[in-house]
Amino acid sequence: MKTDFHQAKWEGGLSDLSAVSLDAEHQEIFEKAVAGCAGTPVWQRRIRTEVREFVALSMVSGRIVTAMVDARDDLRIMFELRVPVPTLPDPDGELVVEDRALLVLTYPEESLFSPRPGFSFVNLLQPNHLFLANAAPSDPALPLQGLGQAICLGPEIAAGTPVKEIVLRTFGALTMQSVQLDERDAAGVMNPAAAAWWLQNRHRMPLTREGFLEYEPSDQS
Amino acid sequence: MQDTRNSFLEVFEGPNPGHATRLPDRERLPAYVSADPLPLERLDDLRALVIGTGAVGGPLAVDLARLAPAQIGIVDPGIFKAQSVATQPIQPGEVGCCKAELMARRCKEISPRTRVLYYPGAVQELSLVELAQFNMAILATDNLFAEVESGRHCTALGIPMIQGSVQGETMVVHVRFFGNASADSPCPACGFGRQEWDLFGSEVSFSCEGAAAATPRPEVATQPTMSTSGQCGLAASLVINQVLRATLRLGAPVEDSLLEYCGMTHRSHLSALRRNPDCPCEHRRYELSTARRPLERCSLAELAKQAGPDELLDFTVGEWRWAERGVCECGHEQAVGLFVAPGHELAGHCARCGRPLHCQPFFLHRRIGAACFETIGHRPLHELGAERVDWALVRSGHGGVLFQNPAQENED
Repeated sequence: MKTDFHQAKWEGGLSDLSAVSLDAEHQEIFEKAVAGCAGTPVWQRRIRTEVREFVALSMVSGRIVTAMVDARDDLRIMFELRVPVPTLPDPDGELVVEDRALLVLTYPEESLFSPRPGFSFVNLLQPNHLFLANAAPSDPALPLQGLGQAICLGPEIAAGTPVKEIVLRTFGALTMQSVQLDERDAAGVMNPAAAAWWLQNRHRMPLTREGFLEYEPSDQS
Repeated sequence: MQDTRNSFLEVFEGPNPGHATRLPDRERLPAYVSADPLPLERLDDLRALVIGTGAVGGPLAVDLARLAPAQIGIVDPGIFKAQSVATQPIQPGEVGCCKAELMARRCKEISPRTRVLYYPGAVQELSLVELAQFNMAILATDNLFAEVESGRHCTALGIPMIQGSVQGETMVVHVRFFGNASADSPCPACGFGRQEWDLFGSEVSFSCEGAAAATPRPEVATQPTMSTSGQCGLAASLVINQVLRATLRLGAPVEDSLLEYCGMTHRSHLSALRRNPDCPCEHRRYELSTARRPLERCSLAELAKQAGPDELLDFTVGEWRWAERGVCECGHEQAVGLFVAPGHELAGHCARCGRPLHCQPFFLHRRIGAACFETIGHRPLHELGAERVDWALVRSGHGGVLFQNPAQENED
């Protein structure tokens, strides 16, 4: 189900995604993704809507490569996102900003009618050693691929929040366009050491000011 | 395995057994005008759960105890605050006490023969099997999260739910009766408009620090009840009136109705509650069934067979997660096929280096689809890693069957 990053030339907004006509390649991704879709009829309909919008977003943004979709119970999407990712592989070393993230997005049926924790949707698999106040500290025992560092997208994700919005919030969290560094805040932080470091290095935030849909892939992509 | 179960605590009689004999036992209940000759005996079967013991739920629980039902359960995560004395049936010396426990003890004192249980946490932390031991739920909280979750669970289990609330500014009391006769009955969320959904989203938050917990506990920011103890007591009395009418079948049926009383005009209005076809809640009915032997010794095939011939959707085995694949610290990935406990997500050992395998979020499932059935369906759950199973849910095309453990081991 792999595809190359797609050149973005789209004038619409997020609310227009359902009207995007998928090209043959992305239509195939969509059909394979929903083929094993299970659960109640209401949930299956919702999965189809969410997956189609996600695939449309990947097509028009050029930032996303869909790796795997599993819609047998909760909706799970493994995808690569073109985004600056701050990492600290060596605790005493320099910050390393990678250019892509392998993420797992888990979207449970309960999210349709119940607010969910902001840290329960997205986990970063690669690169390991993500260094963000709003991401769980990495496991140093796993140098190559982590088990999944949870990324917190806010104190709560409201019931019915669509997948496309979760993807955008993830982009905001990784680029630090949206950030919470105050340990005393009721929402808390997931990595106090990272929060302290970024407080001392505010001038490095955000990692990019580019918008999600403004992505221009380079020839080396 | 870590014990992640949340269950009720029971209150037992105090050290003064003679106390019980002095208490009246329904002596003052009138001979209601009814076609049924022995309606009062129905109270012996009443097992009522009170969710929220504040200004409405507190007096309501006490009134309920005076009916001497078979069982009372009380759920409230809070403690009494100094301000509680203004609206709730407590003494100043009881400030700081656990609400659920204090009210449960009071109910037990009033009705020693009633089995009284309490849970000092949020209702959504209790499993369906815990809730299934009640045949009526009474909701007395302004917490929309508890409202939606209780409504969803009561719809699933077919438990009638009565909700009492007050609007202090207008002196209006609301009593909603959700009959839950079928999965298509209305639930509290059916009546939500945009405003309620927005409020619902804004009053719930989760601290990042809860990320490590197996079941993150939400922080719910609700406003305190702005009303008088009298008006809250009125709401409690009207709820008890509906409990009596439903239990003893007095008067016209009260199911799926909204009773509004306005203290400023002394007018009351009764209207019907209706199912909203666009309600996002699942509106599914689960039949409660007891497994023929301890659940961990059952296979999914046995449970599916006992559940009946309906088209299978999926299985949920208590709080266990199904790990399809795992990854080792050495980087090796391999198929697993084991149940793992939430929060302790280790799944066997690496075939290459022998170190523990960790679960990956993409390959960790709460539900097992019917497709997995062919490979693991005939193996007992304990052989697949689920050493102790409190409940299991088999969902099918139209609803599902919720299995609980047998009371005593009964091997075939």
